[in-house]
Amino acid sequence: MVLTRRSLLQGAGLATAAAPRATSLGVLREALRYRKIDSHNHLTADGPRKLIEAADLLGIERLAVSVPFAATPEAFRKSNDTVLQAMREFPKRLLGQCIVDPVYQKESLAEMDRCLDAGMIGLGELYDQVKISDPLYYPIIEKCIALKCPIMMHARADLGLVRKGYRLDAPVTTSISEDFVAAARRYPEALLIHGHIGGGGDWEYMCKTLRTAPSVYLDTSGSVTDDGMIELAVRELGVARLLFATDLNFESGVGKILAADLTEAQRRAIFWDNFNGILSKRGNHAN
Amino acid sequence: MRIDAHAYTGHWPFRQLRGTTCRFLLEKMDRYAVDRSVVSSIHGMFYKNPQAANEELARGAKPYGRRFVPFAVLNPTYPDWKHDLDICVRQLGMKGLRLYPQYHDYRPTDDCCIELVQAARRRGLPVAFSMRLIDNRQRSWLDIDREIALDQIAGVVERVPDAGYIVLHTLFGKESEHSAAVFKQARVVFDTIYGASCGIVGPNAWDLNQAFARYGKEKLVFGTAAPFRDYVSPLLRIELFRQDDAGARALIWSGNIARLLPA
Repeated sequence: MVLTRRSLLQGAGLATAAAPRATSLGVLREALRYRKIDSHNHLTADGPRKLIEAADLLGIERLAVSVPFAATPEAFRKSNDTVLQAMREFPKRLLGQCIVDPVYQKESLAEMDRCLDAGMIGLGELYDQVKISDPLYYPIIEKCIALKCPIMMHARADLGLVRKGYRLDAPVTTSISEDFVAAARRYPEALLIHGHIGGGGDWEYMCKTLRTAPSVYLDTSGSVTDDGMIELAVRELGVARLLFATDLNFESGVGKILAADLTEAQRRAIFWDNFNGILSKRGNHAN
Repeated sequence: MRIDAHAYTGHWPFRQLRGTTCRFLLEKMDRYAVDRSVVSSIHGMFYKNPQAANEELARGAKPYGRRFVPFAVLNPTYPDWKHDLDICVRQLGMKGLRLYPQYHDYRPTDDCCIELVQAARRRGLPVAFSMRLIDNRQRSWLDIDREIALDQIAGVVERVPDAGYIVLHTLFGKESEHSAAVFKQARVVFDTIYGASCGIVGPNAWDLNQAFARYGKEKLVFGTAAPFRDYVSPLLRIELFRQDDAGARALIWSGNIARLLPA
């Protein structure tokens, strides 16, 4: 039998049970004990149904999704249309994130109106065309502040990005943690989400840098699942700033939270409460 | 039965690892009901002469008997490795080798490495190669930035086809068709640290189901990469894998690695 959150809770009545330690036979069972909102995910060429099926296996109730990498206004509108269509298909499961490109200022602001009016929850995953601290982003951030919607952006801390003279594997316009600090200093009321602590860069560097920008959230996604990473983030940033996310790495996205030395309340905060709190500012939260 | 085919003891020079001893690993194993762990010393990657690291490991693992399967790290570019190999097998109880061409600065297909693999084969010891230790994007400025490719490992397998091999930090996707054909015929297993079993494959990952279909049921093994990586994700991905096929999971949990290990 395939174990799902629903079958687990119906079968075992564990919805409100105390947290047992996970065992070899029980990490999946343990995973399904928690309600989860994935704050950073994507639609793929396989379509939304496959994404939902994978989320079901791990008890992820809602997923914030986008289709990034669009180079023109026409392309980002098309990407956002794909997300809107998926939202219509799975309205209780998918939370749309709108992509824009601040190089196309007027078109981006208009696209934000179109997508947010249609029910998207905010911006994301904004990519590396322009850094988050670039003045081109100012009108977009200001609009997000007015609309109380979050801005989730791709970020990295590769050696070549944070220190000169080393091999560069990403565009120089990729946002690094210092860029989020700068944007947050200018706009402390903005809901800025720094993408993927496990996105491949130096996560200790990210956490040490973001410590001085208390309004910036950090999502826990990415393929890197180093032991101690989540605990260090909690220690440096505080648990309230961490948002559960997988960025398509479903098993390790959940596993790294379960593996971390966290209290029951901290797990729940990361898996659900923190991002649900952000969503509540625009009334997009779940009960 | 669950055997972790991929664990370590020791310190990593560029980041604090929280658990550096067999005792720490044992606590994890007991908490998550892992019966045995194949373990080597991280220090051996950095010592020019890794034998001292092998001795450290043997001392650390000895109190726990069969819970640990110690693997020696040897450097075939350094003098007297044949003597060290003999000591490792006869006195230290090592059950296999882990080689680090990228850290000891040679190519896997160099003659010195081939000679070492042949020596291991004669003693019935499997040989492990690790494609990487960490994601290069997060490396220290003092660390290396090169990885071992599956095609390079296939080159070793071709030259010593009857040895047993374990590939660690496996990243499928860039191997040639020729290499895939070599692996299918060989006694080689791949760890699942970057595998995805839920049907969605994220960045820097590969599909366990596809690998299972391509290479067969005897090629994949459970491994945690502890204490580098979190301990739960590797368990979770195997628990999710083919939930209606306990036999396939049993092979990944322990059957496939057990077949390679000497008695």
